[in-house]
Amino acid sequence: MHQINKLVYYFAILLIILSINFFLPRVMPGDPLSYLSDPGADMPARMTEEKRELLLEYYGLDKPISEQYISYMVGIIHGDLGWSIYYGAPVLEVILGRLKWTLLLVGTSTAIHVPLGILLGATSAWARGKKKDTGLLISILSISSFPSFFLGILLVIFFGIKLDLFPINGAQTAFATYSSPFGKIFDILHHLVLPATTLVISHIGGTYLLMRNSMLGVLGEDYIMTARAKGLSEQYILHRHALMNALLPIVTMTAMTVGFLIMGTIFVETVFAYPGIGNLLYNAVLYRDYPLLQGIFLFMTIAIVGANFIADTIYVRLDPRVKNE
Amino acid sequence: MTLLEISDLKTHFPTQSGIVRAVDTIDLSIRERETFGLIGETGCGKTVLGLTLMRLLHPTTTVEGTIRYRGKNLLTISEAEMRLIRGEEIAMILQNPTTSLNPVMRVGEQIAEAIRLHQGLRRRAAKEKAVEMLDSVRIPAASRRANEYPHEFSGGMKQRAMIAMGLACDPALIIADEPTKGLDVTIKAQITELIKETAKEKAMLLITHDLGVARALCDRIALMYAGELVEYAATEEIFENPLHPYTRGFLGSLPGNGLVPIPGMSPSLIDLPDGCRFHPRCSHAKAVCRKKHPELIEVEAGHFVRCFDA
Repeated sequence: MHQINKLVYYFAILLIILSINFFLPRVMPGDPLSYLSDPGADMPARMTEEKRELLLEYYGLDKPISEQYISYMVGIIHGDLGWSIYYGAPVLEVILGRLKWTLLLVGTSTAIHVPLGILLGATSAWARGKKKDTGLLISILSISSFPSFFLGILLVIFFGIKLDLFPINGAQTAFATYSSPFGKIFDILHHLVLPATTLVISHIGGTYLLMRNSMLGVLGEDYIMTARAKGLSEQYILHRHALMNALLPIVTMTAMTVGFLIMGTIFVETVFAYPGIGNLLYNAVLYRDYPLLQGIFLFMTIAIVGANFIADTIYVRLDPRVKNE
Repeated sequence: MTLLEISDLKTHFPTQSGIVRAVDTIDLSIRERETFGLIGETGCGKTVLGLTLMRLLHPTTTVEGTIRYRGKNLLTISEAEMRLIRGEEIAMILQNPTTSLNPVMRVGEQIAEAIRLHQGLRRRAAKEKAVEMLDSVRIPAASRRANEYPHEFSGGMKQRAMIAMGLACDPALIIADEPTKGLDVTIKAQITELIKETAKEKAMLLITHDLGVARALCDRIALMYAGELVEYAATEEIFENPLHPYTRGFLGSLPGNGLVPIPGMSPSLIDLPDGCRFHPRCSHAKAVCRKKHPELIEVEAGHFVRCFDA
């Protein structure tokens, strides 16, 4: 029952987001054609009133707003997000073609930076005030504070060009033919190393710091003292008692940073010419491809809502107190 | 037979504003199967004394003296040896059951983990033992309750679970820190009864500020003030023949004796008064009390007092 309620709740959020996505451009003054047809505008060529009406009718913009809203919603249900002006293809198709690369990149770096940040944060908290803690704190914070594009460029220079260990652009070698499927997988992973490393380094600081603080708080709790009073070993207490409690805020934070992670890929994908959503977004802004932009924003918000849903589900499993509320 | 003998025990915390002398030269011994009450106001160092015995304080704490448990000095044995004593030989029931239970672990598991560790039982057997323990502290439907989380327990049940946890490995000595704090009267009576039953078989150090509970449970009582013991004797002796002004004041503050509070506040453990530590609040204070620190003297067999007047 609880799960169903939650689904309804998330469905409502999605509906609101879709509506905002629809109304936001429409509350602006004018319409997409007004700059071409305004009689007062200083333009070399001007659209005639008949032509303008024809185009508005073609795009359905002459219909009442409620009708437009319904057809927009119906379109989305059918997977129709409109037509990309720059790519000359359906927006959905363009996005889906790029999505897998971003999922691979963001997925890989999240799968590395979250567990690694948790591990290092817990280690640091456990050794609070000792050399190990100070060393970790200083080194992680200093490398994480590099802007990701700068870090990416450094990696390109050292590992891509100087040492020539990794390819520096694209997601796979162009026009390559592979003798086996493993060859292809290796090629893709080879291309993934540098951009994924950049993302891991630029995001690990947040996870590490939060985990360290969360763990320090938990280690001061009375139930940790109870566990010690039972004669349990420090290792056991760390794993069985402290870690679970300290992880709770991490789950929330990881879900909340999904948006930032996708934003982060804009820089990283641009530096490495990685054909993902971030790169696509950058081009869409550059070429003012509004339908494509809208489509990407829609996907991003869906990703964020989805991540929150997953976090909600995990949280209930981790913290029994949430279940009954 | 003496089970635990504490001599010259000092527990000091170095802080930025000075050294906190939370336990300052304490000598006492607990016999087998004896229930020993340690009574004092909040902040007099009684909880710190309990934690010192378990060696659960932060490593920067300085602890001096000896704690002899069955011939072993608990302050010099290794941490690994101490771990074998914690829970199995000496168990501590910490105060505040609400914060002392892990909120994300099932109550049964929190009891079973100590059983697995100390008695080497397998997972299933330890679980069964944990259910038995919950049953023995009279938690209804224990096998179902064992699978619940602490937030599903009432305050009294959490305290019972804490007691079950302390008893799980059949320790020889139990240190119970304020086990009746924050419970309403009927629950308090039940918990007191429960402790009384369990204390028959075992030695217990009962830390409390509740004289009523102490009178019902303890064989001997010690009054602690500003890090040191000021009086100790058999329970009835304390109630019938209190000699230290602090003891008298504490008895006078009981509801049955007129609810007369002791004037003033207990001193800071960083900046203790010269002479007798109680003299600023004592109505009988003389010149000597301001200058000389009184020793704990045996005025009658088994009745010790730290006062020039006694």
